[in-house]
Amino acid sequence: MLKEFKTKKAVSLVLSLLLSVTMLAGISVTAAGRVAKVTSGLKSGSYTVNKVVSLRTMTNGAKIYYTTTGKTPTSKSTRYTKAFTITKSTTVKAIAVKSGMTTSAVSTFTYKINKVPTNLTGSISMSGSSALFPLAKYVSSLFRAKNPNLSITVNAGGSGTGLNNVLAGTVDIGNSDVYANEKLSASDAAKLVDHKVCIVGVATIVSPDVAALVKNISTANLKAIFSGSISNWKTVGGPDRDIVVVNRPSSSGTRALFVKWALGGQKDIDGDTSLQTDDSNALAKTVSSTNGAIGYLALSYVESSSLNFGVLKVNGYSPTYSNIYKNYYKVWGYEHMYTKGTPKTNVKAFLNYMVSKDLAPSYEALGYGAISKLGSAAKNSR
Amino acid sequence: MKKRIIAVSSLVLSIAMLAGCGTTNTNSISASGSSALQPLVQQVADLYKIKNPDISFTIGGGGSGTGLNNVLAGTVDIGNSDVYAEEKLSATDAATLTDNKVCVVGVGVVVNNDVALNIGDISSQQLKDIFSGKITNWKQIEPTAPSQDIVIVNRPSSSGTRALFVKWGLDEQTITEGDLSLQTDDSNSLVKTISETKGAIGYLAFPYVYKEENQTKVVPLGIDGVEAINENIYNNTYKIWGYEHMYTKGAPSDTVQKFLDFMKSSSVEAQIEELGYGAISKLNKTAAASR
Repeated sequence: MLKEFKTKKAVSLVLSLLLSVTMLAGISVTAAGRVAKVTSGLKSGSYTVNKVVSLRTMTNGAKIYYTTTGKTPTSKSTRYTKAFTITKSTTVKAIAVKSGMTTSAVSTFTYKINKVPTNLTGSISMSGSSALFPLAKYVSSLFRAKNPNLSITVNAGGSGTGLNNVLAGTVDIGNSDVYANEKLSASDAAKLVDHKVCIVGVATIVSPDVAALVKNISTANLKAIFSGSISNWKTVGGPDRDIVVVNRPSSSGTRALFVKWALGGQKDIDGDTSLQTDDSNALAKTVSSTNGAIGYLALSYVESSSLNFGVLKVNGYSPTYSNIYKNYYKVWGYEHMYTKGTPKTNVKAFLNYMVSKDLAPSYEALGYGAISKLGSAAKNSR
Repeated sequence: MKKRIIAVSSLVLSIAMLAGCGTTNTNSISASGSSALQPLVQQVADLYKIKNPDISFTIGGGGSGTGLNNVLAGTVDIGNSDVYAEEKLSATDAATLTDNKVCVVGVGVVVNNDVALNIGDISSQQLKDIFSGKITNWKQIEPTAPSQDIVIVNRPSSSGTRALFVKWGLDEQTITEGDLSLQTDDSNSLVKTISETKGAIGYLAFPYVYKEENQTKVVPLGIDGVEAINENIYNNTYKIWGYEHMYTKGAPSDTVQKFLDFMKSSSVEAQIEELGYGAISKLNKTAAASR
């Protein structure tokens, strides 16, 4: 009985000893474990110039092997020894290997290289939207720097002008804040090809004396102000002063966006003052310097303006792109570059460059929003 | 009544005089300091000029200490700094400056390509031991690596990047000056020295670590298994980072204030990240509360 017990104890001792060895071994395998996967200094994405790819793993002493053919790498593939340059669209697959450890999972990096041409000649002309004008001018100067033998002419004039010009064939590109069929007949609009390049928000701006007291306005009050049924700022918490509505002419795309998305399509919006030039800067100056003034301005002019107008929240939301992407702030539209039929080579290259990833970060700093950042609710709203 | 008008006009006069005493006229903006922050300020200034063509910018480097001393002395409008003014100036001097936090910047521990072929990650203890001279050969970090002396490449004490590295990478442990000590606070020379010196290690702001042309020259190491990327700063796992500050002295001119407002606006965030800096709004609560 006693002997039997002893034997059992011995067995269980051995067993538990074995068990702990196994457990220890288990832990040590985890510690050696799997080699950390390969990361790249260059994010997957599309680029317009040759790019340098640098690979690394966080497991010390591990060797990296990679392919650029799309094939799964093995320890017989090219050994990574230093960063390399890719000159065309490439898929890089890489593994990291260290003896005594499990080889890393395969990392895949997909790079698209769509090079910007540098030998274009001839000329490109565009006119239209004053909201899009600063961006079109900026990108044109960058594109011209790459193509010194190309000439580019950029004019404003309002979305209506741009659409009519491109339809008449007097410019290559018609810039517009609104869809062509909102300004042209359906049959004329059908002759044009739409290239959406970004989005633009429209802010409600007021003179400094109003901004001191009024920070937010409801769309219901906006409608009443622009129809003239509210005519003194006192009614909406402002100073006891007549409201001066500053408008843009009907050719203005900014006006069209404001009427559609802030005023719910209301037709009667003529105030006491109506600016008769389709120039955003002139409007901003008038609002800044006229007591009691209210107007609307594309964010591309609000952003980094040196003028002293105030910007109102609408229904509690500031006109920022993060609010637009989340569908909180509703007054915005796509910026379109229309061509008549298929664009010629240099125009096509310019349009490709307009939407390339290289430019995207500067768009927001210039007061435009990225189409790719629109949330589904915002996207579905129009 | 008359007296009152006189009082007002003398007020106007003194404001005008104050404005006259300012360092610059109203259409120019000057900045110096942090070499880590310089590329961002330059890029944002270039974009700002598109809308404001009549404003001229002068943007220099020189290191955070230089920027803070310059703005204090009134020779520039804006002093760019990787560290709080209190860390470089006396408390009374620092109190005369106004802080504008514009973004965050990570500091990467970088090695050259040869070292990186064997080393991808070090522990924070190993990092301290390297910079105190306790660990002197890369073989001590990774036994399978070839024997190679570690060469520490330093920055001068005016460097804000160095201050951030010492504070958050070394827990304030003093750096034992290495065999090589770079005597200019210039990130580009530092990259060159590290890439050309066998066994070199140094520290570098993320915008330089991730700059295209530096990809062939330096490689960032992971610390305690955490990759040196902005996402890990935001989620509070990568600890070596600081706010980037643009200091002004007293009330800035309208021109300077408007530019600073633009620098701090959400419109610049995409540009901030594109250049390798981090956006303040993306820090999680723990990360934001950590400094």
